[in-house]
Amino acid sequence: MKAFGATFLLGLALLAVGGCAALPPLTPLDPSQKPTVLSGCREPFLKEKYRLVHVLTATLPGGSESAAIGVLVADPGPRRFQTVIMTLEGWVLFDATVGEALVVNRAVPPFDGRAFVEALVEDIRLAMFPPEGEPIAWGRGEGGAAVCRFARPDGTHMDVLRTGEDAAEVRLYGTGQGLRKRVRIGSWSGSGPAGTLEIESRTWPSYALYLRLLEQERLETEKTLP
Amino acid sequence: MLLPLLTAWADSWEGLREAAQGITSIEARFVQKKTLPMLTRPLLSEGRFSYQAPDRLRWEYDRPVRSVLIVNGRDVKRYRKERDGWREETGAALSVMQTVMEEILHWQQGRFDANPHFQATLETGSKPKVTLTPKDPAWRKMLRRIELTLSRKQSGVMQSVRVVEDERSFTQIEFGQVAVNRPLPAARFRDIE
Repeated sequence: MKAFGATFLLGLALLAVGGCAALPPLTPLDPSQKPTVLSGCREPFLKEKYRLVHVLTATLPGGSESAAIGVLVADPGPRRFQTVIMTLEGWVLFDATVGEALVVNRAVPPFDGRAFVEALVEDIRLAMFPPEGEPIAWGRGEGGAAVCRFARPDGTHMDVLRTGEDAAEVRLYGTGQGLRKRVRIGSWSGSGPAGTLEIESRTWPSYALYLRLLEQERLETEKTLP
Repeated sequence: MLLPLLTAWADSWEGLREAAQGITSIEARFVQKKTLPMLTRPLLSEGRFSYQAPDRLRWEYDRPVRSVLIVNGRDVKRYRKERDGWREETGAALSVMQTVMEEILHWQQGRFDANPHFQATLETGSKPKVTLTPKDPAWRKMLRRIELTLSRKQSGVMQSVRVVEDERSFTQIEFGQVAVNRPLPAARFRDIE
């Protein structure tokens, strides 16, 4: 009986190991570089409230592709946004406001599914808003990029990699530490928003999004009432 | 002498149908303005429109994204220009547009009452207008009405389309440089370029 118990526990342990991946290792850097690395990890994200218009191309499982126009008003302070996705002809497919609560104002099937809404909200947060809190680790990662690692309350981890002067990558690792999503942020200038975004989701149903910025407008950040 | 005939075409459903029967082809340029509460100014798109009776359409955008939607009978295809060439689209948005394009074909054929989901009303006068209102309350949540303003100058021709989702969200499409009944090459409803 004891032997069975030990075998069962060993099997369970092996399964657990097999089901997990380790987060990529980070090579420590000189502590004096910390402020520069940390501020570099916040640069790719919105610093002010913006209205953005993107043309977005979605590639879905099976290779089907479609293009749409996305309008986004995002405020990084309160981490609120409103987004509208419409066909090139102007037919609104999806309209939602996300703040403390998620309000779907309009959703045409199949854009009314819960999985779609949750994935969209996560994508926008990953691509637009800097991670919350202080990083749990920082250092040099893959390809020599400076990396900041954040632990999220839901047990997932998020790495921000500075891959170039105006290029960065956000990687979201699941609770099993496997790579779930990758967001490539590129072509931004100064404090402005990114010119291109590439989002790749590896969990089922996997998809890829490519967003090209068409219009941008800086907005007044909402004043919170005393 | 011709003027009363022209102005009369849009005064009755019968007049609209008769005028549509006299149309073999239409070519036009269009400017599309999308208005949303979250936009400070409308989002502008421009392109070209071709129609060949009875069932061929080409709806082409020059900007902000180069794309071509071709309807040839029941066959609907959409292509988008990327850096590496034209790519065919196959996503869910295409099925939405398939329905929309079928509706546009009905309008071109003067069959404004062909869709049982809409109530069609005709407003005559100096600016004749057909208004299509969804009958189903569930549809009305998504779309209040579609207004088709008819040309007083060109028989069988639409001047503008206004798709009203709600009073602050609508799409206005204005047609210009309209040419009627010119022979159009078959390739326009088959080839991308």
